[in-house]
Amino acid sequence: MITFNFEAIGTSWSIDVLDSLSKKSEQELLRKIGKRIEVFDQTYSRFRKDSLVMEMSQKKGNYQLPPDAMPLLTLYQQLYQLTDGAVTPLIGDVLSQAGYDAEYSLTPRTLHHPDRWEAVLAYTTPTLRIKKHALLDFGAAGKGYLTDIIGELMQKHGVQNFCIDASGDILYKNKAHTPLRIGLEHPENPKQAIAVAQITGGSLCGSAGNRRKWNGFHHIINPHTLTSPTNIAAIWVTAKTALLADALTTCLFFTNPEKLQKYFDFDYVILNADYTLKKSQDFPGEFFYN
Amino acid sequence: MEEQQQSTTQVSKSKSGPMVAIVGLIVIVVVGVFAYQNMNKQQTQNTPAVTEQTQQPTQPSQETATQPTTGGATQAAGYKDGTYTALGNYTSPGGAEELGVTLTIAEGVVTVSEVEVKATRPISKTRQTDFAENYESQVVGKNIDELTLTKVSGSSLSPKGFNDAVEKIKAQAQQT
Repeated sequence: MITFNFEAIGTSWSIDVLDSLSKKSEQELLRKIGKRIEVFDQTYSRFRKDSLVMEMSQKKGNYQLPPDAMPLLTLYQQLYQLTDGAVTPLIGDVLSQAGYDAEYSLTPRTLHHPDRWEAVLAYTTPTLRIKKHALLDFGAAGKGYLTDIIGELMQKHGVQNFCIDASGDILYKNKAHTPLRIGLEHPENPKQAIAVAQITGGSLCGSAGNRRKWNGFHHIINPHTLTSPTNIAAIWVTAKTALLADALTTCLFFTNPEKLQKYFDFDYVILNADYTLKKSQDFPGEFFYN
Repeated sequence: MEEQQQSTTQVSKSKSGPMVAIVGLIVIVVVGVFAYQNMNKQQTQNTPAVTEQTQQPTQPSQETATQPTTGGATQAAGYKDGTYTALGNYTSPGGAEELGVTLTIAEGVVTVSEVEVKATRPISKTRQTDFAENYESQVVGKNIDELTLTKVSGSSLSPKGFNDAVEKIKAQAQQT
């Protein structure tokens, strides 16, 4: 087994390759992963000047998106409807105004409600029409989606057993279904866990407002209230793909799980700010109570 | 302890309508126990030796608590260890309803709480079921190095640039 550790898209990654590969094949795989992340980042990042997202923010018009855009855009479109506009790629401008910008100014300016999806975007695969200036943000699902993409790349490379940990967003494939024990981090004490989740495959993603926070904001801002939710301390979701698990952690800050369960197959834990829990009956984990 | 009481109240805020009555009852029961538990804790902290506790916990007038049905008889002070069941009465828009609440106490600490649906009217039944399913006690942290873990999931580690920016802002705030 070998583990690749590196920094990418603004966070740290740890990839366990559970199959044995030749040294040459390992190096080749790592190189492919690095290259794929670079392509993804250059398309979807709002933190780099040379990205497609940045280009779109400066010029209206029709953009041909790469083939990998379809699952991402389609899910965003669906979640926009299901959350009454709370989950939207148009949050990019709001996050930037709040200070979570390419320079990490962390200095809030005046915040403006984002436009409605229809007013700015029209998506017909593979074309995204930008009708009005907008800085798009794919932070709600982008990291999870990239995790899936790397997983697929690894499988194509012949690796069937692996664990990709994109700083807490995890994708696990194991033919033997050996359980993976994941501590759910205590939002106020990174040395503690409030539970141990066990998955035998698929994805577990988490979202909490404790690390990227500044001036009363964290990485999730409600476009209707222009504030960051404070009633929830952390959310974890298990699902088949990291794209879905990651996206749903953000959705659950705004929408009740019962509604989302009508459309998606997932389990969840919502840790309220008062440390009470709401979770789905089948969430695979052991929780610690007083 | 104040924090715990506050947070229990927060639970009731998040519910609406007839749920408030239900939650109100739970809050009374839970806060009653918490308050008492706090008294015990303070006492234990202040005086290492266990002292005789004569004061009885105040019982909310609306509930009728039964004697412990299970559990040992260890009595540090006040409440005995065991499972306590209380029946709560409240008035829903449709009329009088009942709700069962079970608390398990071990060494002065509430370890399990169950809510039993007793309602007869369909709406009340739905509301009580919803509440029973979602009512959970508070979780606590365990040290990660004492658990056998493969991975940890929380919020994403922040990039260096972000952390630097936060430090800069903190430094500025100290100067002004």
